[in-house]
Amino acid sequence: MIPEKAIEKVQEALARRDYRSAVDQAKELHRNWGTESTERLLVQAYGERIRDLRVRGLTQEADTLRELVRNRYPGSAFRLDASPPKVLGWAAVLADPGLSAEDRDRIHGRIVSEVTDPRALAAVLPEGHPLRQVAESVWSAFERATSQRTEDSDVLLPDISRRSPFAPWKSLIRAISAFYRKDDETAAQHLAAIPANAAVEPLAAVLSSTMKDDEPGPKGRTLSLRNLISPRPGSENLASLLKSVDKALREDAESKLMKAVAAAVKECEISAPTLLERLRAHILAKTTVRPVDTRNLMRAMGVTDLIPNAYLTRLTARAAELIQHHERAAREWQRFRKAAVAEGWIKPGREEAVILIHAATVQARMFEDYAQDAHGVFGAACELDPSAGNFSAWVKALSERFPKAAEEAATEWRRVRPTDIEPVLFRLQQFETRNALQKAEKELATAEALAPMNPGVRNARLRLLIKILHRHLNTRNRRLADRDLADFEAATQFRMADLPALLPALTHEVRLVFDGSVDAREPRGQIAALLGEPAAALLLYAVGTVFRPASHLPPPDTFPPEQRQRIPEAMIRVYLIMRAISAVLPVPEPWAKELSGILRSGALRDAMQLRQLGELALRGAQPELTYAISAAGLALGGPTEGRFLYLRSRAVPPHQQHRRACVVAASLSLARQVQDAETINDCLRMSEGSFGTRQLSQALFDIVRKQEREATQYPNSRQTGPDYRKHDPSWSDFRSFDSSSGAGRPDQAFAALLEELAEALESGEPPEEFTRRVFGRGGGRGRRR
Amino acid sequence: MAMSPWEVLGVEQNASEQEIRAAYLRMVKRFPPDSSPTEFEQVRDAYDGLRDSKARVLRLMEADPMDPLPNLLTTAERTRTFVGPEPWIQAIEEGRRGK
Repeated sequence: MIPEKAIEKVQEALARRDYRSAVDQAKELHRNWGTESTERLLVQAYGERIRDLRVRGLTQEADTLRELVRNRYPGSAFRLDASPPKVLGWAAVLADPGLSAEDRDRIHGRIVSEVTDPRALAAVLPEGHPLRQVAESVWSAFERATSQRTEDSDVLLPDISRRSPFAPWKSLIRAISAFYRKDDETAAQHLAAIPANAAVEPLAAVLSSTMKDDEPGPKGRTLSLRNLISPRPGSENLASLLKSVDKALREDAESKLMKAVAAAVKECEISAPTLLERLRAHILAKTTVRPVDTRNLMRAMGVTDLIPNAYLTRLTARAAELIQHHERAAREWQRFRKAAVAEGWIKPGREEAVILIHAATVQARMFEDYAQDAHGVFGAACELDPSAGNFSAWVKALSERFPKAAEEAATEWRRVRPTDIEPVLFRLQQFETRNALQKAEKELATAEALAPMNPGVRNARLRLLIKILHRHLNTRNRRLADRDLADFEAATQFRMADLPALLPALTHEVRLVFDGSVDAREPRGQIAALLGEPAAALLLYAVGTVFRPASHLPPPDTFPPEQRQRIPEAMIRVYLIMRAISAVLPVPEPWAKELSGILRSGALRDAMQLRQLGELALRGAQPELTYAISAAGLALGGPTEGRFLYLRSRAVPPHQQHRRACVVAASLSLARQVQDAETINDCLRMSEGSFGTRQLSQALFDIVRKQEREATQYPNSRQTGPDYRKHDPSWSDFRSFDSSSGAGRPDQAFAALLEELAEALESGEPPEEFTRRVFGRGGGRGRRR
Repeated sequence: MAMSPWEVLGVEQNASEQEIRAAYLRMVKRFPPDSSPTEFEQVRDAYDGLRDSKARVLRLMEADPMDPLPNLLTTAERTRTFVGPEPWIQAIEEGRRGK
């Protein structure tokens, strides 16, 4: 039995405002008896002491003591905030039947804005008081909603009307209940009903910011509650341990890595167990890029193996792609497909086909035997989803290395989708390549029936007519050659733009073959009337190179100065004509030199013209000329800068892989800014083919733009041009991808060389010229063969 | 760090087309274009990236294995934890003091 005398002593001390000794005595009492009532008395004494401290202006001390008491006696803490006399006063007034409606509303208003704990109000109201019952039911619902999952029906509080002083509490409780059910929309509706002056408004702000996952109000004010009710997994320690794992991976220090992994996994088990599986998946994927002993790694991660779920296989597939381990990437994508279907990430069928197409595309990059298996995978994908996009991916992936398989794919495409023009065009191209011109003509007839206005079909007609004429010139069949010329004249395609100029050039070729040496003045005059003099000479030369090994072009200095100035324009016009018949215009050395001189003089400042000249040089596999054009284009700046950087990347010698990668990345960024789709596609194609798409830091991006603008000289042994490796922190990544993977740097450089060689052969560049250009022997100081 | 379209719409990566559409409509209601244009644009872009099933699968295949590991923590989804009534009551007081 608690001695009443001791209780009285505490109350006496409180009455004489000796709060310090009241607290001391209440503490002693609670230490000895430890009951609910002694705790209540102690908290009451603390409450009075805190109020006294505030009266004396010791706010900070009051706050500190208040927090201490709150933490130590959370069950009774509400008593610290109760203001019994006031609340009692209100309640007494509310019980008065003669109270005016106006006064009642005023008191209700104060309850709305001042009652921060319903228990405090309930505790001071007499048993049976209606407001006490409401306060108790509000507290009970509040306690339930904040402690366990509740349905809306559990927290309806039907007795509390919209006009009740506890209406904001009711809205808050229903919002909390909805928040924990993840029904944020309903929660937001309830929160919207809480007036701004309500005592519970701060909680509405916390809930609202938590649901939107944005910054809460004034810093720190409600952050603690938000972090309590909606914590993000992890800890500062875990973040630092994860950084150590990344660092060890970068340093290639295996024993250090294993220790870092073990420590990070251990901490993750404690502070973020929900992330553990993902963490292991990420670590495993990273070690795909920088291989380590897998058994040791698994031991460090505290497992024997990882379940190949969709999350893990997606990461490992991407990692394998990154190191260009095509076989592994294809295998991992297949595992991902199965896991993704099983885990409900994707639906079987059409969605599955997307992954199959990707896996097959990756597989098609492998060595022959494995790559041919991709044919079957593509077939399976197109069976699941026979869309034009899927068939196109199938044909495209195989066309370069496995033309026969690609032709089969196109045939299957045509069978399944008979109205699509693409497979017909592809087969037509295949027949042309094999010089099966009769079959090609038959296929072209099908194409013309399907889509006569399709530019691909119209170009194919021009291309085929040239090839047929070529054959008839080779077989010396004049009758058929003359008929071909008549076909040219009749073809509507030849009546567009500068193409009519082609007919006199072709007629000249026919005469040259059958009549021997003929006077070129007449056709040249006819062409000059259409295109101007330098273009006439260039067109005759260009058409000649299509049919004969040697063709003559007068040097630029044989033209009068006003015609000489029109050489760039002539080049563009003839280039466009040659492009229309899918022929290459190799610019002979004297003309290339002339153009370089014009570029150096800065006389050519039209970005569009420069861009077309750049395409010409690129198509003609003339990197030095391409480089000079890119320099002139970069000097202009503006929206075409991305395109000229792309040209620069193509002109850079293949052994400058890192520079090329950085320039392509900068070009891609600029092209994206101005939505230059052609350059974006070209950059992506180039990146995919060799070093992958890279992301430059802002600083490196600025450096690349500046230094490339300044580097106007084509690299040679004395002047190699910009080197960005020292500015690029991820250079080590770039290098280690090359060296640590199956596809090492030599292979990558070799692939780039092959690509370059294929282009050179296509353009008819002599092998010795290719060797000099690529390996830089001679460096402009004379040829060495 | 940019949020994935699934994060923007507040759905799981294995959410069905119906769930994605429902989440989109819910978000549009919450962020109407006239009062929250930035958020609305973000929500619309996220939905555009996920509404077509092929595009959604392609997005699903995107992942950067070289992403720094600490990003796992910053992108981890917040959980919702029951903490009982006391911290809420304390927050009312803290909030009122801050006013």
